[in-house]
Amino acid sequence: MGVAPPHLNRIVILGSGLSAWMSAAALGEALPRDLYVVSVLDDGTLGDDATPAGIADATLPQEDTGRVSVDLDEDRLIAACGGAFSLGIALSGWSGTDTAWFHPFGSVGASFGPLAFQHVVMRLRRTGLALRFANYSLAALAAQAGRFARPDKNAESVLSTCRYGLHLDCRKLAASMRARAEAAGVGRIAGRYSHAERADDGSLLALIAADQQRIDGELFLDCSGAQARLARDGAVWRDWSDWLPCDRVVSTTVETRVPPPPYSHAEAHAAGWTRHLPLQGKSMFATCYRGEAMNESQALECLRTAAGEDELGDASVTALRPRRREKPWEANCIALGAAAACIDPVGMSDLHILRAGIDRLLQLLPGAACATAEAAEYNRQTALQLDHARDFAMLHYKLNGRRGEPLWDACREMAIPESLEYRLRLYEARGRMVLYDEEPFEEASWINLFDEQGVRPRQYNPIADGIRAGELQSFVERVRAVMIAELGKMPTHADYLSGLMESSLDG
Amino acid sequence: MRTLIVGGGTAGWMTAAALARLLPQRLVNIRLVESEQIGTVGVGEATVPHIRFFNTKLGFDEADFMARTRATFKLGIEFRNWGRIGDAYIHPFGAFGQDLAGIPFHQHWLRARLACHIGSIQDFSLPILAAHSGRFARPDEDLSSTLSTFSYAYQFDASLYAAYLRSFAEARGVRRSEGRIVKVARHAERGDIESVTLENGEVLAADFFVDCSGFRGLLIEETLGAGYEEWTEWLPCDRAWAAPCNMAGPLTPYTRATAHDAGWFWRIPLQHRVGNGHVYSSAFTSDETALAALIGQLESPPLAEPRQLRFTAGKRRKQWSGNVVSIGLAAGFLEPLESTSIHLIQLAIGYLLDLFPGREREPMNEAEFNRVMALEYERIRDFLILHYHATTRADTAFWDYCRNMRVPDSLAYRLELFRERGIVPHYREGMFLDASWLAVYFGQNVVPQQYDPLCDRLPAEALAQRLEDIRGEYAAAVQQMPLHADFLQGIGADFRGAAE
Repeated sequence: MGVAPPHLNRIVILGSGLSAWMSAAALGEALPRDLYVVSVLDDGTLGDDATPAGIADATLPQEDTGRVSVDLDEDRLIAACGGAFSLGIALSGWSGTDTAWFHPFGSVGASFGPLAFQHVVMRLRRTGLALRFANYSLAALAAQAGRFARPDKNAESVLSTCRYGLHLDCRKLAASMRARAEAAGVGRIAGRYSHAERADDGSLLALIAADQQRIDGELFLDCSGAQARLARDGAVWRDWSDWLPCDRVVSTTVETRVPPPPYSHAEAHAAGWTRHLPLQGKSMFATCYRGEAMNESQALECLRTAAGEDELGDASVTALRPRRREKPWEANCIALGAAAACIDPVGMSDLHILRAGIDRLLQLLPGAACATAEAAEYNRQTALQLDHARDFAMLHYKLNGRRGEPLWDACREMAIPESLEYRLRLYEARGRMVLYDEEPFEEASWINLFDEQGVRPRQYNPIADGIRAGELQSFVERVRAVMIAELGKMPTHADYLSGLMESSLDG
Repeated sequence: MRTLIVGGGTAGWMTAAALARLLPQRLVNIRLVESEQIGTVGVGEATVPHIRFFNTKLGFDEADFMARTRATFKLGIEFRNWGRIGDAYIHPFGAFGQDLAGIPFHQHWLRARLACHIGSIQDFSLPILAAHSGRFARPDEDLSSTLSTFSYAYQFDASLYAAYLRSFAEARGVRRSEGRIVKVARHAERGDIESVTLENGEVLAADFFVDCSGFRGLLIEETLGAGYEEWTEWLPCDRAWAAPCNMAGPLTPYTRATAHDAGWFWRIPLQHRVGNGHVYSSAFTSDETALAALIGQLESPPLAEPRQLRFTAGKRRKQWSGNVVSIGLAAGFLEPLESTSIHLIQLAIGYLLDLFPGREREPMNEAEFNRVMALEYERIRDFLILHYHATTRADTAFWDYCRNMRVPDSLAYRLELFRERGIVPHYREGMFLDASWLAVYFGQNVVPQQYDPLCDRLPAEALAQRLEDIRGEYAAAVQQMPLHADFLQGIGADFRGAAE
């Protein structure tokens, strides 16, 4: 019954990109340094693995659980990476070729007694009012006005309803994480990965570099990107290409002097969609598309047009293979980043999922190499989160309103997974959003997505019918008025960023 | 929308009061039918802290509510003789210690216990210390204060609570009919229930029915045949004897559950008496033996003829079917070991309000209600099974059975994860949080093989000092709390304690 002291003490990471260095920094900073050795076999050929959509990406808002987690050290990162804040995503061309909507972070509206906000909106729509959820979101209003402030911790304040993510240059982010990892004592071994040595039960014993250098360990992280170099033969993948049609991506960055707006933009087109992600001093553009619907030169043309550039420097097309590992943690090896999953980036969930995976690893870190219960729990939570993130991305396609384009017409017809089917059916019936365990997105994000992509519930909570429409109308007007008053107190995003840059220079 | 609640009692009147208070009057017309000939199950009843949200939503004044239900305060449940004969622990309404460096407190405690004699994790809980010293105060609203680190519930007379709710509901327009139901009429094609007929011939028609008729499930089971999922294989107790007595022991701010040969005894102190009972398995003991055991351990002679209750652990396969939703014992039964009966009623009412039907039949409403309620029931079930299963008791055939039984996969999974690495996974539905699971695990000697390796980042001496500080903080804080009896008197309670 005694508690045994831990006897796992060497952690070996294979990879050279963001997943590898973010994991290394997190482990290096959280583990007792005198008891553990963390090493990264940095095979320069493995590339950027966590964010297939491009050289820059965004984080989603993350709740502070108080538990040990990846410390992004936001202000310093934004200063070091020329990053910016994000209050949401503008989406155009998804619900129809000429339509646009906004996915704001944070909550939307407010509940009216026992009535959730969506029921208030649905009831008022029946009276002929054309309400949109984003008009009752402080994040959306601030994004529109180019303003930004961090949410207030005081739940009474309307500013507490805002959430934000970060726009970051992934190469600079990886470099910054590497510097932190090395400062925390993580060893970097430069060398080409050759092969792995395994015990009879399939668990890893050591990585062998091309120069025969041998790196022994008890726990291994596979951060080698889509190649998943440490996956055992016969590792099972769940293929999602039937649900997420884009299979290629190409991206580029361009210099700009325009201050970055506090949101990104995803514009759908006949063969896929193009993202614009603003940073300080530059913008990243990425086109995700289906190879059957558009060839490479058309994709490059599409990207050129979006970026407003005649020449694209380093843009090259890479494959997107939507899927996830059945078991990202197998034996003593945990796959992170693209080695674990690939999801169409329209939901912006890549960095969020990477961080969540590392946080989960920190919370479940075993004391011994044989850790079947920890692995099972890691896999359970990870699978749920990945599947929900996939469902969220998939809805952009399933519920599209683009008529007469083969790719999009086919997407509307596709069958969807059971958990999503149930979510959709309940919302259609009743305007109630199911929330499962390990949701990567907030309730308001799901509701807004359904609503803007055209799902109109057959019923709403009949309690709303018991309240006079006039009373509900003045309620929603009051909600909006409070937000607009708050907006006036928020600095512009540009001012907020320059304040942050100045104080980081001073610091 | 005509809504008929079938059955009074705690479930019926909680539902009536909540619907009357929270649904707009122009929308629903609420009636309740009950019969004075049919007894309610309500004996002394212990609750969990969530009841306070329910009372607050309805706008009850705490002192008034407590006076009228003869309530006392409750900081947790003391479990005696569960893991081993002679063991005792409290499942408190509050967390153990404080997280350090983003790592749960119990992991640090596990580490410290290897290095030094740190003492039981029970020492690191303010509500446990308060319970042991018979003290009570409401938690401080200032979250930085040590005195904010707990919650509380009540122990009250459930029949009086039902009466209190009844007067509240009737004052808000709920109409009550008295009489036994002799006939239930269904729609010829849809099968929906249309009306019930009383003994006196009165016909009560409605659009929507709430079945609060108790174990039998007059509408949900006897009429609609929703089906019952039995959990007796894991929760073999199927009977109980209940008997009140005068208080001769202390006015504890907690409930007690003492394991016995083939079940367990409850002791619930109220203002005017003590509620007692013996929950047992008829497969392992006789009614006579069980009754004698109950009477034998009472602190004073019984005040009334002991009453017997019979039940089957489990839940309705469909708690909502067509235009009938079942709430309370009509929906399922889980023994009162963790005081969950009223909480399950409260949960069902909450989900019913979220999914309250409109005029048009919408099958997704019932699908969702049934999905979430099944999760709630199953997770409480697992938590209850843990109490029986995590034991080394081998003194009777009953405990041999419980110790060796194969538990549900969902519980086996949690147990393994805890034994291996001290982790309690979170879920969205399910009322018992980490602290509750930890209380029972540690209280019944389920100890992880390893602690969180990240703990070692804190120097051992610093940790030992920090733990001493936390223990000191709690020990000092508890001295600031008044005695439970004094606190009750301070809010105007009129009780008969052992001191008199």
